[in-house]
Amino acid sequence: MAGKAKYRSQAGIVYDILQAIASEGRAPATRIMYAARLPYDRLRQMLEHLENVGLVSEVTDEDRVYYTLTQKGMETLQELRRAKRLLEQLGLRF
Amino acid sequence: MYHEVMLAIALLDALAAPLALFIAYKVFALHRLISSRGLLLLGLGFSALSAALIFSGIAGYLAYSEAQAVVEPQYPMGHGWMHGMVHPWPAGEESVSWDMVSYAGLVFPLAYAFILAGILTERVRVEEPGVQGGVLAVSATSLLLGGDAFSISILSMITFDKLQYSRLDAGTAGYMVMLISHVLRLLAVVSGTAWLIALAEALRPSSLLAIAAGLRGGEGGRQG
Repeated sequence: MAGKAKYRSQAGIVYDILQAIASEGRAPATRIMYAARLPYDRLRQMLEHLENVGLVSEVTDEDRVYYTLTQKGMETLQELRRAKRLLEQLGLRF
Repeated sequence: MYHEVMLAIALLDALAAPLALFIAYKVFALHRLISSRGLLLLGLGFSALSAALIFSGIAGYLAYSEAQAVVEPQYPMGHGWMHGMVHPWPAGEESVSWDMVSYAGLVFPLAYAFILAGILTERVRVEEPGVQGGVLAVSATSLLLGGDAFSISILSMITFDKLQYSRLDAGTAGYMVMLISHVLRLLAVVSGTAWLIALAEALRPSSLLAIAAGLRGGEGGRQG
């Protein structure tokens, strides 16, 4: 639980979450958590934020909750892929 | 000689200002998508940097127009003449372009402050809570010196922060060049050394060109 602390940028975390969901098509929170290297409480906060800004949506299938990318989420992932290098150059941590 | 250098500085600033604006545009576009306060501050920082570069460019151009030709007898008996150009800024407020340099001196640290605030706001500590801190206080003897001193403090923090995280890449080099340019200008204004002012002014826009050079590789990093 108390692993090595690491600073990451908000944009980098969003990128990892969107990337994790995109690679699966739809993904449960635990899968995203490992792919995005985030503790569960932080992931919950982020997913809530991403739902509020319309990048991901929650779907329930046989009592299991999955997350999928919205159209805006896919566009954002593309935009982040393009801008990742620029943001790293500017000092944001991915 | 100074004449050409001053014109080159104005041109470099003119080249760097749209680059800073382009970076601001890209960052604002991302902010619009993911609604991140850190990106908003970073975008504001690069917008302000663009404004500062415009002021600096205008100042450089005005200095170019103001530069006085010095024609002095080379020998006591008056045989032969020595020609040269004098940079107007060591004369301080007697120079028309001084106002513009002062505006730029005010906007540069503001821009860097926004950039630093953006980087720190964007930063999230994952897992353990931590401690961050460290503010450098520098006294100022004038608006320009104060602006440079403040810029040096902020840029030192940005560079230090970035070096902790990544190797020496083009972005880090860009911030370092910006830092060096402000140190040189501070020294130049204190000592009244015209060529040092010219060198410092020429270095600053080059820093953005260094960042741009680092983007040549296109998209990088880990994929899923």
